[in-house]
Amino acid sequence: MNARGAGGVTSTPTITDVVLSAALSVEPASNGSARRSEPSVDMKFAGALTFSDDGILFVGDNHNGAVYAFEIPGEEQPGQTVPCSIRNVDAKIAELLGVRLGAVEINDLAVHPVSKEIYISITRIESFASRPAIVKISVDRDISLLDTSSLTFQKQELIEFPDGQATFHVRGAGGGGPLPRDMAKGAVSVRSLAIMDLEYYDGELFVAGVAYDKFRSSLRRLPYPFDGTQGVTAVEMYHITHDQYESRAPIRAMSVQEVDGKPQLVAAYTCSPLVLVPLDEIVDGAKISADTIVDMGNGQPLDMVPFRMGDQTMLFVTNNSRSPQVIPVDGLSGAKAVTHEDFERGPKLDLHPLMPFGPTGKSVMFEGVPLHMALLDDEYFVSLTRDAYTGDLNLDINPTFFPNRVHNLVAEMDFPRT
Amino acid sequence: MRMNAYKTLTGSTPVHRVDDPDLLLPRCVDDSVVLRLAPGEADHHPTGGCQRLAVFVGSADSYHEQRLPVAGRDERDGQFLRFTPAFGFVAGQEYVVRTRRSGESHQLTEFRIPREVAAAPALVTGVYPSGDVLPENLLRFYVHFSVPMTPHLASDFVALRHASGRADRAAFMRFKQELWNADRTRLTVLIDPGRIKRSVATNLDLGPALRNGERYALTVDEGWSAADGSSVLQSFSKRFRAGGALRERPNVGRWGLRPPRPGTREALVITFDRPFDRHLLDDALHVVVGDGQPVDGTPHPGDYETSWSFTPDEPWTTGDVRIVVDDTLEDVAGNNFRELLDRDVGHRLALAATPTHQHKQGTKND
Repeated sequence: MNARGAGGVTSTPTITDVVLSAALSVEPASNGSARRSEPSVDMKFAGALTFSDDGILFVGDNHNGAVYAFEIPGEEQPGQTVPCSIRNVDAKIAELLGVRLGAVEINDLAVHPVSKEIYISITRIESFASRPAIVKISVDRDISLLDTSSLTFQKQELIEFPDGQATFHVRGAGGGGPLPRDMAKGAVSVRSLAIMDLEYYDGELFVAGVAYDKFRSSLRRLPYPFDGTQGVTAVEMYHITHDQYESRAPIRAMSVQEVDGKPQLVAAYTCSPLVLVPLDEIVDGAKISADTIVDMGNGQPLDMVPFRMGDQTMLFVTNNSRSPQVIPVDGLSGAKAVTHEDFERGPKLDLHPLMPFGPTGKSVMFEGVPLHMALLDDEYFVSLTRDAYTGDLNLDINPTFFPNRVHNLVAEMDFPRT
Repeated sequence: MRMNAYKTLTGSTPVHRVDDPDLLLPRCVDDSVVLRLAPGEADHHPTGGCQRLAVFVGSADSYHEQRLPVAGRDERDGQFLRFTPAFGFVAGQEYVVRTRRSGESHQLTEFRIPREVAAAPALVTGVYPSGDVLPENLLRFYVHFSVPMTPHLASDFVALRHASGRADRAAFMRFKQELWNADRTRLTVLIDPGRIKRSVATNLDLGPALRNGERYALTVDEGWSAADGSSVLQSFSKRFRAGGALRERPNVGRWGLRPPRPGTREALVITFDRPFDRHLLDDALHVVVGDGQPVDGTPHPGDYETSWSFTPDEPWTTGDVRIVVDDTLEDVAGNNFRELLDRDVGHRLALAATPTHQHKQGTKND
């Protein structure tokens, strides 16, 4: 240890010097040791879910930076699907996972295309750790834990995955400093948005999220069965509301649809543009500009569920901040792709006369907050909806011909006729 | 390993039983629940499964037939039926085991696995500086808790109050991140340097947070939840009086030293010229001999952080002992051996003329 600046040194019979040392050395804080992993499948987080047409369940693991593909054979169920709902489904899941209510976070929902079983990805929270779980709900409403260790699976690690250190930038809203809720974002890893949505299309898996710690919005393209190859494409888009080109925030929800005569990714962003990306532009290493055709001016999309209504394909887009939107896919063909040159400069928020912009479809009455949705079959959606009055998280079945939820509404027709 | 207290209930009528010899309850979170079947019973029910043995979260009173059992693995091992939960048990949580035997109604047995760490209620266990008189230019408090706390709530609960009861909501710095240690049992609260530093805007607008001679309390309101949600904090208050400001750099020339006798393990005791930062003290003083070999031993800050003693592991030997002090060690007002947190602007020239400090001429108030 170097001694310097030894002003005011005291001498005593046995202690000769008291000296001032050099600066304190700073050691990096140690990371907490990892919790034990699951015995056979080393999944650390069960996030985004999607099924292939023949029952491969894809699971995004934002912690490990990987996608797992589980083969789940399913038997077709005889007869018609019986509409059913489960009230307080999160409380049931907590019972099953052996934790209190509130220690269960629901990440996504998907339906097995053959068996019609409902799969829900869960984070089971303990005081200082969390573990992934996938819960299965049968058509008979039996709730069970998916035993991934008994399944044949493939794991594909994702390249250019953000490291675990990068966290969100903390900003305040409006005047004054950041509030506790703003500060909490500073502790959230960017990895939590590294896998946002999965879409299986024609032998390939598309993964929306962010790459690297620079928080670069990306689309990944992986052949399935996984063969180790994968492409990463950086995506930029013009956001009308913010009046800027954005390349960091990721696609939240997406679906491959035939638009303008070719397969295109229809993708929804936060706050809340809708863009088109032709699949043939999603090439490894490319930096592409998506075509912005819609901007809602607000909201954070959650799920985009294609369904048939009459002879039309529609997209049911759920959102955590407003009613779901039903968008006819036909209406997207021929839509003008806009840039900053198409508008006056400056932000255009919800109340701007221009908003919502483009072929937005219609917002539909859906009482409560639909957190996640999937298509059960041609006739029904399944939704996880937080009830507007009780706050209960309910698993509901909703008809596709009437894509609404009206559980607590009392209208003219509900009154007794005199 | 501690035994678990449990009670057994039959049907819906609570019947407390001391023991059930056929049911082995888990003693730690990775354990299993094991049911011993009667000899004939095992043959009749080769598969067992959750009809025979199931575990539910909650008390026996909360059990009903519609409850979902905890997911896990059922195994038969001879006459034993073993259930192991998929995610282990949660320490401190209540469980109830339902057992069904041939020809009997079900039986419910409650159990709870003790927490590894005693389930201490959330409490403030200490505040530093610990003295009753603190300089009016005090920079920081450390608040220690018995258990990890829920983050991002400190500004809702921690306050500086004048003896009159008035809370000074602008006293503390608000950062984008709260300043916690790794296990979130120690919070650092900084008094806004703008309030401390003389003649800067906040100091002029609001005045200093502490004034010499006035009485104050650092308070932590009740209701702050522990990180695991198991308890909420009881209220806490540390009262103190503001004293004169610390405006000079620490001076080791004014430290007192009580040397130990060679051949003993007597403590070497240093008395400081002021209270120092409690946590910087942990790493700032080192006892060395010869050309710098460290002496192993145990340090103890004392007397409200105004003294420091060191007890060696081995007896002292005759010879020179040096105490090496990190020159970034700060007193409770944030002054270290190199510079003051707040210099009087009018003294700039005099400070600049001090030869050993020419590398730090600027003042922090500039």
